[in-house]
Amino acid sequence: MADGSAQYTDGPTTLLASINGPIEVKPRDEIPLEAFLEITIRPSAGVTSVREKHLEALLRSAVSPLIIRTINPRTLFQITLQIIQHEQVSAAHALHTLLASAIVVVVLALVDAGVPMKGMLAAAFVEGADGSAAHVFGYAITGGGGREGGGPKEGLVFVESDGVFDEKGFVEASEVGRKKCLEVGELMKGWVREKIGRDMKYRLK
Amino acid sequence: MSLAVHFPGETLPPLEEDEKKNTTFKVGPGLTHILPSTLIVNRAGELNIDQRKHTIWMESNGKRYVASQNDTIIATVLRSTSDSYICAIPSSNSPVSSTSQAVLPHLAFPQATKKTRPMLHQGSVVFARISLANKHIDPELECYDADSGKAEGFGELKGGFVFGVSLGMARRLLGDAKKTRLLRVKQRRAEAERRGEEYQDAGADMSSGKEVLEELGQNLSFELAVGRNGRVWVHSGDPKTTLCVMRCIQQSEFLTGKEQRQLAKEALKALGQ
Repeated sequence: MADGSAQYTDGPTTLLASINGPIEVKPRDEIPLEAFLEITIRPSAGVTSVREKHLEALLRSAVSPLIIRTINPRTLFQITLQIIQHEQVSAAHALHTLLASAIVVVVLALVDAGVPMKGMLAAAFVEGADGSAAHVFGYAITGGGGREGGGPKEGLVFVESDGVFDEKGFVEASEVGRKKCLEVGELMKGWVREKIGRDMKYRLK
Repeated sequence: MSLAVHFPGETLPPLEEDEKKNTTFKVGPGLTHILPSTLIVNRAGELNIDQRKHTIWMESNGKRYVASQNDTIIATVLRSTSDSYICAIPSSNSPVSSTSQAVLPHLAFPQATKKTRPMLHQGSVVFARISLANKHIDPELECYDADSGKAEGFGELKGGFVFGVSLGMARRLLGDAKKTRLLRVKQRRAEAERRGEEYQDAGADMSSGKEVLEELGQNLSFELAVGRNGRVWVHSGDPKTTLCVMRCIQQSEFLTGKEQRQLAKEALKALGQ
């Protein structure tokens, strides 16, 4: 059994994330003053390929600034993401739709596991008007996300784009992304509230 | 039930000034302290402030235990070295192998000398207090009461059966919920006063979360030890009783007080009591 987990379905994509930690770390991965972050993505069929490894790297850059790693030095946080279902709506941007959902589900699982965090991140996938560009936007929905300690205001903290687009197209897309992110963020907050409400249900008569 | 949930990254409003100036607050788990006086939530949960004891912390459930000083825990002995036992501190649902290790000195038992010390073997279960906890070094354990130097229930737990519950459930079984309940009622009363309304007890927060134990304890005879690391040890003369206690405790995780009593009554009936 994992220490925290979450499942998330967005259209044709269903993902399952599990978190374990802080647990004992392999000596060669040990970092003296920080926790080590292990991210594994398992495809729905077949074995892990370059695609999953690429996604792991993107996910790491989105999630690792959220985690306060100095609280548990010389330990390991294990993040495992199982792709349960992922239909490729547009083959070119399959990775980006996956990334947006992956960020959401991993953040939810981290909150469930009680991992010390600087903030929560909501993410959304936006396709350019003519379908030639794909963007993933990540918004910090509850402060934090960046600078050590203090943390900046809520706002855009993560962008991953692909394809052909100009400045105007990007600004338009980012506006759509912002709205989507805030929507997803409210949903995420609601789910966390629900979860904590269930944990505290014993108080009722 | 209205539950004020705080999310990671939220900055808390400044603490209210106490009538006695210059009181220092102790900042508990789930909060990051930024000098001089900013508090930022780092774990989703409910905020608790104890004005009397000057403590502030986040209350949330979890499954992974992180050692903290003066917690009483149930640990497993892994091996013995020349002057201490190496123990594992298991969490709610983890196998012993993946958990943090702790040191239990041979002399950390009541009236222990180099010649007379309790012999613990691999796999022995001990009820101990964490005498030292620091994130950079392995925790240290003690098997005697810090005030009296006597055993007071600490030491090896012989026989019996160990199982896991969530950390929140373990704290509830130890009676923490009863203490925080008074705190919440007080907080709510203060809030109502500030709004100029009469405080009305809506009947929420009436349960301590360990009704199941009270009910079982009235009808069965068993020994029980709860560790803050989410481990529970049960010992009774009869395996049936032990398993009944385990099942009832594990199933009452998400039940209200009334439902817990109901569950225990049904289990007792099935046991033929």
